[in-house]
Amino acid sequence: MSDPATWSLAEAARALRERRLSSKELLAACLKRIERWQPRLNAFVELEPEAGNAAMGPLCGVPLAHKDMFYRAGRVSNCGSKIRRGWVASATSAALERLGAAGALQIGTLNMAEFAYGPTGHNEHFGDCRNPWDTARIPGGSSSGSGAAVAARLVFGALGSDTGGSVRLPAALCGVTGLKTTLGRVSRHGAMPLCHSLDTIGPLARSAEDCALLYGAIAGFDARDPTTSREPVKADLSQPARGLRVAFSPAWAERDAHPEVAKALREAAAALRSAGLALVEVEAPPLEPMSVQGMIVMQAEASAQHARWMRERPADYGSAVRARLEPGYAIPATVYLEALRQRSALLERFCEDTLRDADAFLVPVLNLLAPTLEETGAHGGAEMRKVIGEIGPLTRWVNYLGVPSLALPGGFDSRGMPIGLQLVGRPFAEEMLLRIGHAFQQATDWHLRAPRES
Amino acid sequence: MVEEALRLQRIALAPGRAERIEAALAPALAAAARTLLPLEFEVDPTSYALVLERCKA
Repeated sequence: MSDPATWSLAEAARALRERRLSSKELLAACLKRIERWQPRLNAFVELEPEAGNAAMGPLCGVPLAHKDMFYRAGRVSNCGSKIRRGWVASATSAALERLGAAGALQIGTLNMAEFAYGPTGHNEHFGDCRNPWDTARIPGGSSSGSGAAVAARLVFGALGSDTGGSVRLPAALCGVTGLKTTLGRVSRHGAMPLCHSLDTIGPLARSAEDCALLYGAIAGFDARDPTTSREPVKADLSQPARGLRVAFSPAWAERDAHPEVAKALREAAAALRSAGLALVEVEAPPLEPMSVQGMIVMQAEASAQHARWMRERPADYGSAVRARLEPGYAIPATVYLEALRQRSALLERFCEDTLRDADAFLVPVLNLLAPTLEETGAHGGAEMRKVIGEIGPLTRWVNYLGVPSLALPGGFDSRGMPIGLQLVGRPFAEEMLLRIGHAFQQATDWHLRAPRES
Repeated sequence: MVEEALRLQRIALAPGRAERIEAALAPALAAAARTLLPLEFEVDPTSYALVLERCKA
């Protein structure tokens, strides 16, 4: 029997249901891998394996771990920070409650950027998280431990949060699948806030099928989060994706994308076409203006959220996060509110123009190859700001519009690092994106490749 | 201007930091202003929830 920790979540859940394997054996397989990988990756903050979960459900007995910002009553949530280090939550987050009700085990908490405000995986308080494909390179953030742990096959899935790309960046850089959900699709009750207009919660897992299982468990209305929608949750992948339409912008890719990223995009379009989907060439949406407006909203809201601690305990922030928070206090209220006024019109344009004849828009997650931790760290020199500035523009606009996006492994670059692509859809189109992603993964094997232990 | 704005909000800055923030923020604010769509007078941010609903799949 192959190492069960390397199976997909769907396969592991099936094996547990059919009693081919016990939950204890599955957990032991994960713990064995964690013991070997953790010293190299620093993906876990705390390992606390649950003995069992009496709840029966689709995730019964499956080991998961989550970004260290989902509160669990009586347990510590550090939020990647010195300020919240050792803080014990009094209530459990809605997302963790729902995973627990579906039978999942939570075996630990995962490393993250301080207060989820950083795109690389650096953390000055808990140590940097590293990419399992090359430990000198960034795993992406802010859900860095979630990406690294799922990629190294330490857990079958993990929750992350996505305010400007924090699920999709680590998914892309670590070569796993990640779902950024529609604003209001998953309850944020009991999850650390960053920007109320942009924060979303979503799963990272090894495939679209695995993400669908996790998404189906966590999504839906929750009276404790008034922003959640009553829209019914659908996560059924049994309907074929054949005939669905995917828009992409080859002209944009030729002009603006890194050549290796552009090649991966073209090949992904060809794979989707061969899987029976229709490819529609469109003009790229106004990515830069949407990203710029999204940055204004993010900076203003994050700085307001942190204002009290920035006044009372500024020295307890890491230097990079403090430097990101400071400019937000200088953004005029009129500029922030104008960015919010623009949002409806830009969302309508995206749906009416880019998605006029399509169900999803295919675009890269990142437009650069994975940089190193050193290049993007505090001692990265003059180039550091430039490289970090290039990480978020293809993800931030999606949060600004509030629409869902599925990040998928779409190939490997010349250095052997994963390249991530995303399918961006209309509000509440998660099921459709997952169906397209599932069809893509049945036609390709990028998502099956795992980093080797050296 | 940045130094005064942050001082009034009681946000402490290291010496020389205000100038660096100003230098970084000025092009961002200019880009935000340059890319604005001309909106109808009646549009306000609360319309977003309705548009999200209207645009759904």
